[in-house]
Amino acid sequence: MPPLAALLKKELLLLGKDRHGLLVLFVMPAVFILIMSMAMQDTLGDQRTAVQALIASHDQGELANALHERLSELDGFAFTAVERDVAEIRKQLSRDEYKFAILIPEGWTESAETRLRNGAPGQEEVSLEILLAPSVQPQLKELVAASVGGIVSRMTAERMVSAIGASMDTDIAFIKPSIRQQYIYGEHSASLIPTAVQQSVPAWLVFSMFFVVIPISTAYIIERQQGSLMRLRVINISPHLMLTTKVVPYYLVNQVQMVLMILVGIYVVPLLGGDRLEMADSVFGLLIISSGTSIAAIGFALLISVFARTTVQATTLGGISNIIFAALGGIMVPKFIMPPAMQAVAVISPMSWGMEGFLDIFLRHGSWKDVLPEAGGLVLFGGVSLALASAIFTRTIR
Amino acid sequence: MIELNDIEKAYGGQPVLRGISLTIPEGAVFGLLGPNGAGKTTLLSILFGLIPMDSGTLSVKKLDLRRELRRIRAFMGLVPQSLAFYPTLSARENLDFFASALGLSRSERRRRIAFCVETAGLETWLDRRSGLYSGGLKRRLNLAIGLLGNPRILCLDEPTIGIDPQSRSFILETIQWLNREGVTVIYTSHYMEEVQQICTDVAIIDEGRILVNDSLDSLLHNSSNRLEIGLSRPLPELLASTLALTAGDRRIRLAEATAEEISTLLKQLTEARIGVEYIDYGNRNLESLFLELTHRTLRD
Ligand SMILES: Nc1ncnc2c1ncn2[C@@H]1O[C@H](COP(=O)(O)OP(=O)(O)OP(=O)(O)O)[C@@H](O)[C@H]1O
Ligand SMILES: [Mg+2]
Repeated sequence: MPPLAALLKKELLLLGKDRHGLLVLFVMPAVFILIMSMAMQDTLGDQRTAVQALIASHDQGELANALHERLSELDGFAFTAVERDVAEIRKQLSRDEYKFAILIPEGWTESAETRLRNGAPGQEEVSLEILLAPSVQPQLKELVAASVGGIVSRMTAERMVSAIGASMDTDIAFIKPSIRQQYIYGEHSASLIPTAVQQSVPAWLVFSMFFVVIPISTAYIIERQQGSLMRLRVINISPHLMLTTKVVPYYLVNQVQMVLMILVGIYVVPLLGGDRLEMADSVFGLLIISSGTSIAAIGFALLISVFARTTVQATTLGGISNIIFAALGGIMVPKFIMPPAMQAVAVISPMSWGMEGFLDIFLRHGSWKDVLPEAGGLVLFGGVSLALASAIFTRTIR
Repeated sequence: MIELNDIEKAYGGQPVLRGISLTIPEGAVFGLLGPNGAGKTTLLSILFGLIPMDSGTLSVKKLDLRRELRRIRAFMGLVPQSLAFYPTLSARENLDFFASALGLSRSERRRRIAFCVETAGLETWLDRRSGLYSGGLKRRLNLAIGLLGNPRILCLDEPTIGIDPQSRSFILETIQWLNREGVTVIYTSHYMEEVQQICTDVAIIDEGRILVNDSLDSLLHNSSNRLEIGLSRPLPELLASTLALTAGDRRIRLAEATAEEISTLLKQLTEARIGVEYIDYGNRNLESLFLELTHRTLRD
């Protein structure tokens, strides 16, 4: 085995024997996610009240009016009719004031009737449009599509029966309504409100990723104090290799943490009656933001490790700074609850960058590009910490 | 074959080594004897390139330390004063890790680990968490790890500190056996009996200076006029002051005494009705040598 592999394996072996480390990395966040998802269930993402929606009709046709009427009778939705233009509606959706909007464009009745007469859509078919707020989860999206689609199908079918006299058993596939659904991603998307599980999973994941400081510093300080590092130097292992071989194993550990905590959000939280976490659209984006968070966490952990003289000092210092990062960074108290001044202060916490990155993906359905600013900041933070740690390390090791 | 020439080292302006010159012959068991804080560990750290020396030169097998450190380290082994291994890992895991870090192939590794386990007598404890070992066992594991690289020069920094007599003699015997197998040994200690028992050559270091450096034989068997008399009761004040000794002592120690002085002394003791329990004359041990050289005992 080359020395490199031996050093990597050693880190994992030490972590495997570090019960406190494992507890803090894997059990703590899972427990926090479960507790917080339950505790915030009614505050965040309240599902029991009617879903607020807009309806904007630019068509005065018969069919359009009928649709409007039937929609208002739908259970679980509260429609507000508006005459505003699409731009205004998009703004309201992106501010999450309404979950979706149904747009009936001008000429829709006519287009639908042409379709009924000819058995096929005319040259320029006019479709119903449903705009969805970014926070709308896929189940709701499906529900809206099914409800609206169902009403339109039934309506047109009834009309066909009465007006044209066709029997109900003719193939009605062609009256399948044409509906376009579209998410709104606006400039206000940062102010979206996460559900309990959307808040808890990223929050405690980021928090626990930073807690690699406990196992890293404990292992490092013991090997420095007891002379294992000296022994490695005596057999010609460079200080650089000693330090960098601590990064890779913990990077992997952080990724495992991410997978496990997402699984907790998807499978365990619903078991206890909470919302299910919807898996992110962009797995690549997840990988980028979790890599950034991991590099920041490990760099910071190593900085604390080389700085502290005893394990007690390291775990105290590391633990306290993590709690401060968390309190500031929207981990303990969701950022949207904070007053604007505190939200501005939150930006100084690297945990808030990680948190925002994960929210970009889970809440705002962003792509990998959306997390680049946060991931970049985290990598920079981690890189600077690592460089400092390395400088202190090479000086103190002799 | 290890040559140290006028080595100096200071920590923050405080001199710790003040011009150390030594020659350590090949095949020796070289004892570096000195009280706490004398600079023994500092000297070994310099020898392994762990800390830089301020001035002086050091060569091992004609290789200059400053230029050929990596090559020198390749045939040297260190058993540090601290228990330098991972207490949460078992002896086997520790040995396996350090052997792998040495870059040994799988078969070599297995062979070396088997050798070290046997040499240090670790067989029955291999898979227990090493942090739970007894003091003696920990010292033996510390020794075993130092042997993994098959060193031709083995440096042991107080390898018997804080352990029971059985473990101590096991370690001392192991060191002697390794020496017979051709390993040059450098051994630091502040236990003179140990050094006297196993070393062929000795240097006494105190406050960063070498006080003597010679073979054990010539140090101990040089003609000596040292005197020690054991007393039946503590020395009374009156007699103590005439003899310029400390009242209350149960023995009289003189670095040098002539035959005449001895008979006068015995007469004075008889007059003061102090019985003589033993007389030790002309013999030397390292402790008395140290006392002669520094006028204080090794243990203070
Ligand atoms: N890193 C350091 N910084 C400052 N002073 C140091 C450092 N290391 C050692 N010293 C001082 O140098 C002197 C020699 O220390 P050293 O450890 O070499 O002694 P030693 O002979 O090995 O003693 P011991 O028997 O206690 O192990 C001591 O006074 C010690 O306090
Ligand atoms: Mg020492």
